Amino acid sequence: MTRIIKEYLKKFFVVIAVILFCLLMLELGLRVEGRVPTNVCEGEYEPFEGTYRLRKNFVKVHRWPGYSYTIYTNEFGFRDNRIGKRNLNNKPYAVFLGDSMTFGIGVDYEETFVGIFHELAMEHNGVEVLNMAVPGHVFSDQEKLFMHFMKHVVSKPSYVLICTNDDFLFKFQRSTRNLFIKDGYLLSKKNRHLAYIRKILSNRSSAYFTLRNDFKLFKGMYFNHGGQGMDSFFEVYSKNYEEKYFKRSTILLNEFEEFEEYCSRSGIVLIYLYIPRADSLKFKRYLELSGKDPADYDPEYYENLIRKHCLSKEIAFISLRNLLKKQVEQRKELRFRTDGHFNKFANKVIGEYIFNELVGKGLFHQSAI
Amino acid sequence: MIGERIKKVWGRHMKLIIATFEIFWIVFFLLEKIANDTYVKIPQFIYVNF
Repeated sequence: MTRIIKEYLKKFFVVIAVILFCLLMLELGLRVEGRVPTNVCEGEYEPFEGTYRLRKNFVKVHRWPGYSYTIYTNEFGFRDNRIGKRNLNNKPYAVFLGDSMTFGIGVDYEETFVGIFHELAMEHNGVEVLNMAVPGHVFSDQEKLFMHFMKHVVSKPSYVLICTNDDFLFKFQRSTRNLFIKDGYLLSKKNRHLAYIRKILSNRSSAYFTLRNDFKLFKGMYFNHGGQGMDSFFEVYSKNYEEKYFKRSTILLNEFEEFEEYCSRSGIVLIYLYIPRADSLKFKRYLELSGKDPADYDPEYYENLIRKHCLSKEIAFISLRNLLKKQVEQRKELRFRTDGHFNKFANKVIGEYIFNELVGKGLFHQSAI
Repeated sequence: MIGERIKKVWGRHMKLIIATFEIFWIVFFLLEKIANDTYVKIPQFIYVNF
């Protein structure tokens, strides 16, 4: 009996040794091919007033199978085209608030819609732009960051543009208590040790990084027919919790009102933007494919909520639904294949549209020249 | 010393070593092919990279 177990153990160790050898071969092969891992020792986040923010003057290169991009943060800890100082004294400037869509995951700063807007604004009337958006942030996180910034700058912004989408509005009460930051990485407190090891491995090993992503795609296609995160995607638009949503909406609008009053007192022009996620524009198709009843969902709920609110408060509101819908109808791809964030094309279209709308509506009148 | 040991293991478990080696690379190339060639009908709704 012991001899048989010993024999099996030997075979087991032989298999493990061969797999390790193959992984070493794969690692070398991928690196020769140029598919190197991120090789970054630390992440870009730091704790901030019960939530988190980006580190100041930080550079990080992200390499993912679908895209690669670099994050630079300026002296304030906001995404920018380079690290270092931003001279805002006596200059009119605009601030963008939002989540990962506004931050521009997947593209370099110059290619984000905020970056496109920044370039056009500088050419038009020398107005500077700050992108305060942070991935995963909800409005209350952004408000804290904005108020903190206001305490430390001499001049106030001329414009604040709140970039909303369904996810940003739906998750506005999301707590960051379950999040944990280690070496700049944002991790869930649950399984944080395993998550940290995974982060380190994907930063150091091309083989792990490649196999993990290939396996994720494979799993998403054959074992999770609705795509990863489908249920939470549909939940955002569900009518099943109307009463709950009504209470939530009231709290959300109250939160906005406090901020609006602050902007009004400070002489800041406030503008709400509604930028629908690329996937929400194909909502009907996804419902059909998933066999769900369209009567149970309202894909325009949050847009209508903000639109009505702006109308009653006489605040500028710009919706990009029609613009992006037109692009989808023309079969233009607006997102990355493996990630729902806007691609370079969508960012360009959005940035140009926002700028033209603001100029066209006479909202963008201040000049530094 | 190590060379002789490897030779010994190779002689004893040649079939197992070759089979493991082949399976590893078949699985890897299949995963790569699936990941690169196939279009996902319903995409993955991932928005925040924590």
